[in-house]
Amino acid sequence: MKKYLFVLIALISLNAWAAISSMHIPPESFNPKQDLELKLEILQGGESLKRITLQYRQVPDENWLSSPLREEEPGIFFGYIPRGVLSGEAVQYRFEFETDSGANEYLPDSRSLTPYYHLALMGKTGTQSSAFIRLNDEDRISTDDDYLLVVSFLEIADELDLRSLKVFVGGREVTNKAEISGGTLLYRDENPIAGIAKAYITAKQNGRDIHSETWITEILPGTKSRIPLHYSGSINMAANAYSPSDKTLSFGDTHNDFATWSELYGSYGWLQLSSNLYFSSLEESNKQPVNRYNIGLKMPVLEVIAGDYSPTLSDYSLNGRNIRGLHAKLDTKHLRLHWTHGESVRKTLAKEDALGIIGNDSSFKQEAIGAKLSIGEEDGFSLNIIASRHRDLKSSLDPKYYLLDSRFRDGEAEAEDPAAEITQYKLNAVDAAVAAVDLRINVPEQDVLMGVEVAGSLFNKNTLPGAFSEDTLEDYGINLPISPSDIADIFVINQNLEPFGLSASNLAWKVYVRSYMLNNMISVDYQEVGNSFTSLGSFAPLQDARILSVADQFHLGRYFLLSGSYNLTKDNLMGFNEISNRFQAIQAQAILRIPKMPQLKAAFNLDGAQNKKNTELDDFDFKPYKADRKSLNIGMGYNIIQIPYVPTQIDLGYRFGDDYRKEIRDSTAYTMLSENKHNGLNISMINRFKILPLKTYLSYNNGEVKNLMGETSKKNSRIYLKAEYSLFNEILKPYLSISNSSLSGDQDTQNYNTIALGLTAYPIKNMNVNADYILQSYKNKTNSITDYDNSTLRLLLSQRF
Amino acid sequence: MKKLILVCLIAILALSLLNANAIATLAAYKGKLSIQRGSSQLKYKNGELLMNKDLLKTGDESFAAYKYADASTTVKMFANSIATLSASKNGKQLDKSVDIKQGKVHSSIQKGKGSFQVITPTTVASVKGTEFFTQVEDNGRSTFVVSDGEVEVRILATDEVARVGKGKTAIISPSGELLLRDTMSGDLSQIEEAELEAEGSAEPRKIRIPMLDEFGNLKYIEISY
Repeated sequence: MKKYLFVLIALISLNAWAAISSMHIPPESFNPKQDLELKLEILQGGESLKRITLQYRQVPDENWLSSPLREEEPGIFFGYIPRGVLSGEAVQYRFEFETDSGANEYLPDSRSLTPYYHLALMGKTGTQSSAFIRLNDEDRISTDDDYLLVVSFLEIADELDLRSLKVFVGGREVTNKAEISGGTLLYRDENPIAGIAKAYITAKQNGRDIHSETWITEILPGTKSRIPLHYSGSINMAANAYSPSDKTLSFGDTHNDFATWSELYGSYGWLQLSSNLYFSSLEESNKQPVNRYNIGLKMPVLEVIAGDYSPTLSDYSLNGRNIRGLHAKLDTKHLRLHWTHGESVRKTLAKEDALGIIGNDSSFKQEAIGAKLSIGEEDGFSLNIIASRHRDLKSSLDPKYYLLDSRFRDGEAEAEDPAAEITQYKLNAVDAAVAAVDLRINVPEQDVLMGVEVAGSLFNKNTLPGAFSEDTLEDYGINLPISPSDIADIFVINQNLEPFGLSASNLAWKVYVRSYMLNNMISVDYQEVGNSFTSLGSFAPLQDARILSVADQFHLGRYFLLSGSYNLTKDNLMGFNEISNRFQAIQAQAILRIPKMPQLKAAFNLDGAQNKKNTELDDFDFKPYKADRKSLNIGMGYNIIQIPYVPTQIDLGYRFGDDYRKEIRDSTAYTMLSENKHNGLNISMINRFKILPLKTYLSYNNGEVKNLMGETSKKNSRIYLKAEYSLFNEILKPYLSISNSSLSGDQDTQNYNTIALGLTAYPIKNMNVNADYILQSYKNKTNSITDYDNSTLRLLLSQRF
Repeated sequence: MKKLILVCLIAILALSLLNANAIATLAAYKGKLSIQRGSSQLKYKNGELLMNKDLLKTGDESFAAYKYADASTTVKMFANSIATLSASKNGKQLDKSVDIKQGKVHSSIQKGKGSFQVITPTTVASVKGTEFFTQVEDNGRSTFVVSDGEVEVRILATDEVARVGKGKTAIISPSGELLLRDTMSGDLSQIEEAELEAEGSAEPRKIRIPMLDEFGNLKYIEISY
């Protein structure tokens, strides 16, 4: 039950380990007749965001479907779970943040005990009607028989809106598979699955919602073996076409682009097949790959994936970085083996012109190998041994691209300089290896998870000279049990090892605890990373640092939620640097939601940084500084359903904060380097008309940033209007939106105007089409030569099955 | 223009006639059963929705049962029986009837949910909440054995009406002569024989119940019934 605790609570987002701070308040439930609208607000860290994707699935499906979120206003994103997916009794969803660094973060965090939001159906609405009578009365059948649901609603057939009639069996809507004739309904499943099947019907009688009782049938295993075939997935296409008046002035990306992606899942008995494909017109051979593809096969104990995959072996070895190759997992109760081998990053290859002049520096293709052996049970004690290695492949590049050799100087072949004894390189090939041990104790019954991971790394910053020879080893006075040349295929040992010799600086370790107790979801992480620890397979934290992260989420039913996190990072762990830096970040969010009362919310962020002199080293000229940034957002929301004909949802918010940076002279005196204050107000209103299928959205924002030192003030304001109309029972939903943003104060007076005309359509079952035409204009009253216009045409098509 | 309107009206009327709504569902069957709808034979499965004027025909050692859409009436047809089912909406209720050409039929009716009539070549029996057995022989002789409630029989040849109560048997000859007497054991044995014939050689159904043995291994108990 705790696993589905999120059914009862509206959880505020918290990313204790992430740079992005966001706020999302899940709805209490969903209405299967309407798309589920989800709002996500980015409070901090939005600059590093590349894309936000909404991933969702209908319970009890295991596979995620995805759709991109749209930024309706700066920092405010909206996503929709289509009503076709909401035909079951529950749905789960999460948000995926793609950042510029390539790291993906999730909301809720993927490492938390419940890494998704869980929403239950609003419940059968309206009153129970005894007019629905089940005509077949088998309480117990076997899987050899057909599951039958024959229901009569003869008594109310004339008053029923047949278009509103929905049949639910086993948590799924099966109306389209039912035969309805007169006042009788027949649903048949020729391949029922053993278990308890619950069925019920909902409909509208004279405009009022009614529902039947729930009929329960026990389906026992039969004698005939049936292999059910199931499949699901989606095919999507998106295109953007831009027409800026001046590409050099236009803000944002103005390259036309097209992308198509698909998610396919199928199962046949115990065999599962999956495939994910992503193709984009932005793919260029000279850049990081954008296209993604993989195909996976899963059997009871074995899973194999070919293509792009981001394996997670441990936090310090392979974690979250894409590897294009072959991945395999052997999974038994007490033993698990995970192996991965492929190409991790394909970097730029320089091109030589006709004169042999090389334009840009080049990089090598990188091979990645990783393996993890797990002994023990996942729901218990387990010992994990992990190893990974990344290697730049020397053979992937012609020597002329990496050798700084006189023969290739100035683009002309010259005689080799016999006096040159040292080969110089303009590009290094690296080897990086990580070995880790991870102990975990997981007790789901107690909602406790704890563990410790210790990892060591070896890094060779230039493997091009090759491995040490025996003679060279003797020259260095090093005795190794094995010859470096014998293990050169695994790892190259030469003078370029960093550090040269194993020490504590190669190590990283962390300890963590996650627990749920007394309505608190607690997590504590502490880690230390040596200054030479290098992991190319993960987004490892800062080197030479110790990091403490504490997060807690507390709730009282669905009425009150409080969450907070504290992160402290101190660098210069090894004490070799003259200056140590200390960073801390505090986040707290609260929401109070009492039925029929306004909803109150608040979010506080504090980021601080300070440096400190390393007194163990010789004295030097040190300038201590301190920087701080804090902000408080408070808000109120209320759904005014009392307004006749137009229920209105209003949200008010106010934010304020300040930041400063100062140089500290002594305990009392300091020099302020910068000091700013900011504040802002936002008001939004959503009206859902009852007499018309019309929805309007209005928002107003204003803000001011004051530079207290320069005594300047910059102001901004924005107004946004959107109207959406539904036609043909929400099959077509055209919309019109207008926004105006203006900047004033001690800055150029500027205006951004946007008009958007769009259409969302559901032409056939499980398909939605979005088309938008957007006109933008930028005017700078002070410097009109920077003015520009832009028009954008966007198309998004999605078909689920 | 008038011709066009007339054609449209006829088309609408024709369509409404063709637009048959379900009036019953096939609850069970065994052996040979044919369902004729209009001029075509219907492919069916258990649970099949039955329409007005569907003709059901059972063969040797066969059995069929259907339930009307208002859930008030269940009709069982035994071996070598031919019957046509009908129903029409009467407000919120369903007025039901079954026209038995030959064979043995058992009817079970709940009160208060529309009328139910059994029509044989010689008789129309109106039922208001009861349970009774009807047999029509090749020569047209109709027999009604009432085990519960009351049946009102109207003889088509003479328009004579008689009430047959619980424990009574009415026999109407092909010429329309009525014999009303107490139900005898021989009358009941016919019913029992028909029931046994219907159920006795039914295909056994099996279920498997999962269980764990003493070693924790998953085993199944298979039950045939």
